[in-house]
Amino acid sequence: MTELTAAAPPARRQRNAYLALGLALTLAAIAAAALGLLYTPYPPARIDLLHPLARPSLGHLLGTDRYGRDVLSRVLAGGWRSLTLGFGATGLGLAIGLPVALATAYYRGAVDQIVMRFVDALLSIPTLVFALLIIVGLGPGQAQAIVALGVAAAPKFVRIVRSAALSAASEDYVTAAKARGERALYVQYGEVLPNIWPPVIVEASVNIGFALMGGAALSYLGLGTQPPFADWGVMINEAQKQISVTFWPLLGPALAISLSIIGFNLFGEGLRDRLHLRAALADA
Amino acid sequence: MALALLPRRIFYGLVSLAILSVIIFVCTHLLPGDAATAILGEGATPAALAALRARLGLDQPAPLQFAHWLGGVLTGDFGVSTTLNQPAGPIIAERFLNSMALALVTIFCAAAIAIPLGVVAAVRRGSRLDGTILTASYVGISIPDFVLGPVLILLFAVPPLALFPSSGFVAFAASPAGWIAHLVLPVAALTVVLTAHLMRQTRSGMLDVLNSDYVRTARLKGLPERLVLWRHALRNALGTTLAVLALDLGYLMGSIVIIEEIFAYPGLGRLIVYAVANRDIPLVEDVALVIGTVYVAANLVADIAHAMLDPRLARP
Repeated sequence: MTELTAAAPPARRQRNAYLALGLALTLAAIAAAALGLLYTPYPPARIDLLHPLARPSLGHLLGTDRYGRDVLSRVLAGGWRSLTLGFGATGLGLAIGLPVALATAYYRGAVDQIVMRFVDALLSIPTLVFALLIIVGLGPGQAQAIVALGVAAAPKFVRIVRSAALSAASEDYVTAAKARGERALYVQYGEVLPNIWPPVIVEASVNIGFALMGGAALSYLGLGTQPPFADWGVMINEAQKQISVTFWPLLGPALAISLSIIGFNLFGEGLRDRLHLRAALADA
Repeated sequence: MALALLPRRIFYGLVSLAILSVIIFVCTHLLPGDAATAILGEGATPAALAALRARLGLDQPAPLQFAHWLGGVLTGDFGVSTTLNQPAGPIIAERFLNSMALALVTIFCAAAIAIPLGVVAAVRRGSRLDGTILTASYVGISIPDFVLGPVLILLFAVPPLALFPSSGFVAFAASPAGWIAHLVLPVAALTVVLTAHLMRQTRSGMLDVLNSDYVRTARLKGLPERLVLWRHALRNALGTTLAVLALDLGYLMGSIVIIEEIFAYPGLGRLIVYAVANRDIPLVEDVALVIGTVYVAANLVADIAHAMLDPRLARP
């Protein structure tokens, strides 16, 4: 994969603005999802066939869908399902990728070579296609989508964490730890890991954005969250069917997912600039 | 990469594909319920299941099934789609061509937009224009395909404008105008995604070159800035960009899955979604392998293009 140097840093003020905006959007998305767990203006599944596809009004701030369900309530209620996908998949990707990367960077040699060949092979299909393959194996559903996207994200984490760990491995403190006879696991988790947190956190944050997108994409395709439950991907799919009649039901979920993804991406990128890291090109 | 390394790169590419084929096979055989259950449903009699398993070769040990599948693919026999009851090869070939048309037109459009903008952004680094271009590319990368598609349909495919069809496909041979009309919106959606991505990479590639020693030398020599930019800097930045462009063909395959589904465009992406939703395992395996092959081949082309454009790499 081509690695390019980071674009020349924009002015400091602009950089901080990205970080602040990203943080604000991220917190807003989390707050909305948390609110949706506690309170929604209407029960999200309540059907009102007398008022389908209503325009936004004081009663329904984002209008209603084709069954008369309140779109705002459904956006709020669906939020945690979408966010769980993003966080869960990223957590799983890290849980798989981190130990593999630390071990390969520590032992190097033949195992490292073999693992990296696997990583290369896995990176030769798009994350979404890899996730689809795992869905074939596991079947559709929200938990399955988290597993699929998490496993699919793991190769990227292996590659990024390994390269950070490799450069850390040549530092004096690692040599010193080895010289005083520390155990392999201690060197990996006690010495190397604490020194490579910055790139790990940045990649995790950017990956949450992409996993959100991937999760909603799977739901959009009918392979993630299953009706009658809804997340933002399911809602966009349903709203697209009435697009020749009205676009109001599309507005809420489309804004919610787009702003969340922009938030996580800006936050990650802003953090990367702040920490002066080289930009490893993040691709979905 | 120097051209002398090409055979080795080809070898690595083939190793990647071999490993990928194993991974594809393992993934699609994880679930206990096999293709026979998927076809006949849960209520099928054991005898019917056994008969179908024997016909599909599912009663054989997994390594044998794998060898049978891969051996077939290598000799041009892609097996039989279990839900369409047709040989998978011709279906995939047709869809492959449709997807490539989509991808290549998109890459052409994206390059035409992104390269000039990326160069301008790099040359005027830090300016308001640069900021605007960067912000636009952030937004472009972050907008999901499945939001962009419906928005384009809303703007251009339904009244009042209704300029282009919102979905479907017409063969080029049947009606070239119809073919183009059905291509416009999916290409537009993919172009937005790709342009955002490519613009940033062109910008950072160009910045690298502008900061390099030989550009400084050219400037110190007193060459006019235009000459430095167009003759010296762009040529090398273009090498990187072309390499990235070929890589993006692989990146594009992810977006194509969604965009083809939105616009009901009969390509590989829609085919794999269909195959996954219906658990048509031979079809899933074949399409995934084809997509991986496209990526590996694009990578090779990228390497070669890069080597040919960068004089430091072209020399033996």
